[in-house]
Amino acid sequence: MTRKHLIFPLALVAALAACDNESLIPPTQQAGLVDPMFARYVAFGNSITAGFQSAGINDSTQLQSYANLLAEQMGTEFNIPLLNSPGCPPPYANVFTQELVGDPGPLGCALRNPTLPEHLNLVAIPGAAVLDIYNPLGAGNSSNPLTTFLGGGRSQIDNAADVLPTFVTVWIGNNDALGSVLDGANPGDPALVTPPATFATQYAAMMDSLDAFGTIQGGVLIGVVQVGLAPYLTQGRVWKGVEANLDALSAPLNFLDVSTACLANTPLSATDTAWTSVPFPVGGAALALASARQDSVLGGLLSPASVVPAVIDCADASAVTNTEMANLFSAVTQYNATIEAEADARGWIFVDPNDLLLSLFGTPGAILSFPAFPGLPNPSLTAPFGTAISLDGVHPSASTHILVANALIAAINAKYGTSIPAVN
Amino acid sequence: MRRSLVLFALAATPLALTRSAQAQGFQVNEHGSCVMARGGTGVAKSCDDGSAMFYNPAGIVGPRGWIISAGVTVIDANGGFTADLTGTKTDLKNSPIPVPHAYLQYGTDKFAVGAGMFVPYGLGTTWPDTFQGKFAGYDNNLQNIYVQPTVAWKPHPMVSIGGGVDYVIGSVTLTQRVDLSENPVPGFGTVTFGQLGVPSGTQFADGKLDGSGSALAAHFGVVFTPDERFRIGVRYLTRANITYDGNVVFTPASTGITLPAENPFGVPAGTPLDSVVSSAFVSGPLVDQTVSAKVTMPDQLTAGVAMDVAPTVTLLVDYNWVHWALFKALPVTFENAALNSTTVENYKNTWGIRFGLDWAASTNFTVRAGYIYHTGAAPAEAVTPLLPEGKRNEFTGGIGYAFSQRFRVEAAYQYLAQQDRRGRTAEFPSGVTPTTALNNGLYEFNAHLFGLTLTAGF
Repeated sequence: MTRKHLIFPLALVAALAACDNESLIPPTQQAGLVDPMFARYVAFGNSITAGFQSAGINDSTQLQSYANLLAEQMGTEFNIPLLNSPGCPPPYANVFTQELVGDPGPLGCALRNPTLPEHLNLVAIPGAAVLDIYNPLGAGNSSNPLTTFLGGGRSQIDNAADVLPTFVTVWIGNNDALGSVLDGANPGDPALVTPPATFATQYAAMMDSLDAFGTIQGGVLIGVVQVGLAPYLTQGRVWKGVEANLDALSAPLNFLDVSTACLANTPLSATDTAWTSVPFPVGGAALALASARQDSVLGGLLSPASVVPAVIDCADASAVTNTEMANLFSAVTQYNATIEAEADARGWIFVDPNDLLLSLFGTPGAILSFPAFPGLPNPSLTAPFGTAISLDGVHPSASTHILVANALIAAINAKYGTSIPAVN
Repeated sequence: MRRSLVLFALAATPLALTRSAQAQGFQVNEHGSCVMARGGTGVAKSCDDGSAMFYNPAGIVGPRGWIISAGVTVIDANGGFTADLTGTKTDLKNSPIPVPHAYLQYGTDKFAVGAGMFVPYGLGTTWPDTFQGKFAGYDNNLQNIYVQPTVAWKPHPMVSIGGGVDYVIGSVTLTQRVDLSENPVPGFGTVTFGQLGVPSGTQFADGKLDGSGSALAAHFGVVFTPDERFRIGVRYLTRANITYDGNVVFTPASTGITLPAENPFGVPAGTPLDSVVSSAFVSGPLVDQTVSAKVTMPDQLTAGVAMDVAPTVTLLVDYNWVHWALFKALPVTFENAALNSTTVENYKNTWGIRFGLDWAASTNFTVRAGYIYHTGAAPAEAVTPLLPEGKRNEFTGGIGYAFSQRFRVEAAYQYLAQQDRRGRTAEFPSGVTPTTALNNGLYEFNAHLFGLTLTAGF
């Protein structure tokens, strides 16, 4: 074979040998990703993080979660266990009538979207306390139907393990105190508040689980909300004022009695006081009864002489007493000290949500000190607890989720030198 | 359970089929260590070991008397899948697999008859059962034995023709996990377990398919020798229709989930999810049943030349084409007709080019080398754990030694380097035209092949 004869096959071999390998497309190559640190973001938490609003959750409220907003601004993929509309359970359309935004069907749940994500980035479960993050079967767990509907019965840690997060936000602990407030039998029951020492142990165990991933480059630990300030609770002294106003308008008739025990309070500091408070269902029911009786009198259906006032008695178990409220304040303060220490130990960010929420009290109309009941001045069906709070009086509204997202963005950018754009 | 069974069938059957007929993927093309050592080039000039029955039936005419030959190719495959999301790599667990070949022929100057046995589709893929692609298949083995009676005739000093009939005895074993999240909840219509929250990728059953089938194919070849130093060869293997009949057997595989309180299944906290779904193995779609699939294996054509560039040196070049575009979709029939389904593959025709060098270093010692390039049949949207194939570069070398005029031994080595290929670990639902949307990582594959053939002539 001549040299010329050899050239062609050798050249062809050389060309073919350059096999065109394809390549990985790691999440760091996501278009628009602000920083590689955010390549795999996972949000742990409870109902707020999951997107629970107005006592319900669906694929609209889930997308309004601050966690989803933050992920969008980070430019990172974020898979959510979407629940079909109207929800699971559906949110209130009207908290006073308890009308829902739709009929969820016989199961009370419109179920998950049948198209399942391969993995979850939003692993938060409504109702979760710290223990539930890593052990939803543990003694004293807060498991509920959404523990299975959203998390498949697995712990949030287990679901996050599919992702091996590079960045996390953790907003957990609210239910370690809120569970006591929402208890129907004895709101504020100290026995239902996770002892701060137990909280610290459980929180440390949770953080150990996060550390075990070995992939987390940064994170934000969000503190516990002072649940006693939720507009779901109305201070007894406010109810006394309402009673006085009603008495003035209807004298000599008396449609509402608010016990003097509702004025009980415990000074905590020069600026803070723990006030006995009345849960919304208790106060709302009494007010509705008073209103109905007033209507009956005005309509001639009820003799004025036979009017019996509706009663709000803060001395019984239906109220959160000032002592119970002080216990809640103390517990949450200790929780937050624990959380801040855990964040500091890792060089992570600690964000105290109370700074943000307390500022909303100063914004007109954002958080109402007394629900805007129908029949009273300035009633509201769309924002009875204020524009910052959804219709259940506990969970933030969509607008507050934006504020939370922007607060986190500001903290993350300051700490890590990133440039996550704010949510408009 | 409809969807998972359908996926099982759809995922499983293409493996059997593609391995049975393709010129790429996991096909074994090494059926004689002599040809293997020179890059698989054998259509224009055969080795005198009977392997021409596979490489070109016309090539068996020439040697006089009896030739009996037997050998083995050991294939040591390596590879893995790296997930885009986490960068986690899962390695194949394949063990080295011996693939035998044997030939017997008798010839005169103008005629030859013989019979060959080779296993062109005898490889497997074994992934750990923790692999995320286990729902598409994690332990798959295929053995297709070809028995080919062959005749050849040399009607003119410059022309040889030959042909044979292939009786194909195929068997396949495929194993995969079944994803609970995709299965309907008994008594809830079309509501799936996934809609109750069961995560995607939750195993609950192990499905094992054993199937077998047979088919006939025809093989033709011609060799034209215009000059003592130059040969041209062409072979054509017809398409073949194979019906694989078999059974699917399901056994429980733990979900690993213990249900928390207030779960939608209405069972106490602490109840294993396994116990909730255990009835599926007693009644319903997950009972053992028969399955079958009819498939047309594509026809293929090989043409090549061989030139003696020196008294002891021969250069060879082959071109191979496979009509893979025939494989567009695959219907599968279950005993439970409700599970019948069709998968879409949309394969592409493939081609390969092979270069070989044969140097008779002495009267009893030969050195060989070669190079092969193949394109891949699977389009970008059909690269799965079952067949993560792609373009290939292969490098070969080997030696032959004649102990006497009657006995020879050939040894060969081949390194196969496949293009790193993006692919997926999950299957599309039945009937859905696949896209690259589910591609979620990178498949890597390479193999070391060792061949040894003993030949006796008398």
